[in-house]
Amino acid sequence: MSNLSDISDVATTHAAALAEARDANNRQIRNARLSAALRYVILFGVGLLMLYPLIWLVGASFKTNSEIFANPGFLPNSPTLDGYQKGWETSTPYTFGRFFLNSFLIIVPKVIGTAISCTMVAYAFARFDFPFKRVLFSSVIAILLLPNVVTRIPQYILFRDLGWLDSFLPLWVPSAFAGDAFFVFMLVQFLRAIPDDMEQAARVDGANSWQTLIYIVVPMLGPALISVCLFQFMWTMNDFLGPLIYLSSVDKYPVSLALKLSIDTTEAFEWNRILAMSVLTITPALIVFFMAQKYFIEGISAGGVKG
Amino acid sequence: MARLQLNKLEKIYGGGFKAVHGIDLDVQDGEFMVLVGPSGCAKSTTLRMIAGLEEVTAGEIRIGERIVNALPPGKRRIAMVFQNYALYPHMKVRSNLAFGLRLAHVPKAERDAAVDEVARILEIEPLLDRLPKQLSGGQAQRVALGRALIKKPEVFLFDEPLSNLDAKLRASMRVRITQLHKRLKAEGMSSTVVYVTHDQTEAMTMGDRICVMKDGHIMQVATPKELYDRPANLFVAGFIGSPEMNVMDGQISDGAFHIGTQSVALDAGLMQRLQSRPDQAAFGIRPQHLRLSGHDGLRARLQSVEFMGHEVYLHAELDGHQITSVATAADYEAIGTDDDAIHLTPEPGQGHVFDRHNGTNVSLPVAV
Repeated sequence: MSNLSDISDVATTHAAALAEARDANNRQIRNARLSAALRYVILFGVGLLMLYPLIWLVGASFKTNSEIFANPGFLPNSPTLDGYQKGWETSTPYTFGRFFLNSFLIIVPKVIGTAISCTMVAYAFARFDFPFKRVLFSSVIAILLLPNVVTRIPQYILFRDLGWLDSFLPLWVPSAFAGDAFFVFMLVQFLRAIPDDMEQAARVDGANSWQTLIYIVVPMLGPALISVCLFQFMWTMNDFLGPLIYLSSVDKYPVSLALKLSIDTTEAFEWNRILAMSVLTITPALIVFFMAQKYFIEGISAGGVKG
Repeated sequence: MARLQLNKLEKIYGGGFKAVHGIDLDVQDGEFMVLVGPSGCAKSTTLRMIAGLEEVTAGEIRIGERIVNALPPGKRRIAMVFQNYALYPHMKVRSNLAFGLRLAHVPKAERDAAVDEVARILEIEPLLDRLPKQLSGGQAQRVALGRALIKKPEVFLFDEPLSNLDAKLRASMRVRITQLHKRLKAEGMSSTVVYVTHDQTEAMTMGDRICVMKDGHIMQVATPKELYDRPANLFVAGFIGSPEMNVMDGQISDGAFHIGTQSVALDAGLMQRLQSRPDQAAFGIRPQHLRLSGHDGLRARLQSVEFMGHEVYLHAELDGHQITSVATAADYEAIGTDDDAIHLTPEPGQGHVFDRHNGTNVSLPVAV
């Protein structure tokens, strides 16, 4: 009998222990859910706070000019496309389409030039030994640290003397000669993380330096090159000072300048038009970014992480 | 004909570090030459100089009748297999194989035929449309081998090609490469091979001849058997053979080698062969030739026993020297040991005498 009662004791303790463990597990799961919920609420709140100006911008672009100041919410009371229609026509003889075209006329050659020239320069720095390499690379890094404004005036005088004012050349040419030290640096770092065995194999296979670059290095640089192009695209799209300094005729204005144009020329600002055109202006950059996002992140992280 | 000759080949790096000290090496047409040595012995540097990936400081490299020093790698008619395969990551296996031919402007039909043939030989046909990252280590190594094979080079260069594979795969790839070499040779194709490894098993099993290197110098060039039986110096004696050769310091007198208070009788043949009698000598004997005996022979204190299956490694201490003897499991059982003391007898005719000053084997037959 005593044996049986022992066994039942053990069974009771066992069941009690199990119940306790279950309770502990449940508590843990409850806590985890609670903390996750809290985390997401905070993240959502902060995210919304940061995105709110953008959301408001989109909402306000569909409002009438008077409603923008009367209604603080972002949903328009009576949505209208008036801002887009009038804004597109602009107060100049050209439509906004012309300015978009100008923007792309600046961006496309600049991005292509950057990609080609920076790849070549980075390849040379990362893979070849040549006289004064260290000094030259140090100066590239030094340029990185130099504030842009320092070079504005000498550059302006140089391009004025070349007779390039009021043309796209001052915007294209520096980039076509690997003038953007940041991109060179980024590609060099990326290349250094890639072992050079593949390139040596290509050399043994009979490739010269150019063939090695084109067939082997460039494909491996892919993610980094996409990041370079994306950065250059967005920065050029957003660049205001460059076009402002070098372009004087309205028919050559890119969108960044054209937006300012609508502020200047009207006495009472048509805010809804400005906001509508701002929405259109940021759209290409957003589309391109989300399309290339995967490669973009790969490109900027790989340089530092791989080893 | 693709004989490979290195004449007084030298490599000095930018910082003044001399990696290769004017080495001479003559690799016959169709020969499988293995360069072996510990890390830092410049075997890879030598190979990379032959490939043209490393500049030559002095001396000449000759492939067939051509001096190739000034030629870029692609024009030397060589092919190289790299340690980490070095497959082009963005190209499918087929393009990887055909890349060299494509650069040489070989027409597409010919290229495809060559790829198919190589794929058949190496049994990689099902892999042709895969990317390198979808291959296992062994498969990638076979593709790398194919990329070398497809070029029909005069000289094949291998840079530790098997060191990234696991032991089992390494053993099978070893056989595959050796068979491939025999097959090329039988078909009358160029099949001169220079193979770099730090693994003496690979060297012994694969090489027609082996070139043992140390610190940028060649220690000995000989067939595997020759290296094993007649090492030219202490370094080769220690490097080739497993477990390592036992080396004991002592002096020679009265036809015997004295180690501390004990002595080994040197057989007449060995005494006759002695080119000199160094005052500081070393007696070398392979563990396999140091027999476990009942009561006579050298006395040693047993320290540990490793059971290897059909044989037993006995690690012992003899007058301050760490020595190893390989006995059959049966012998070890039969003779046994008492009080950790064992008796070891060198097999006659298997001992070597080295000069401690320069490490030379002074007991080699004069005409080798």
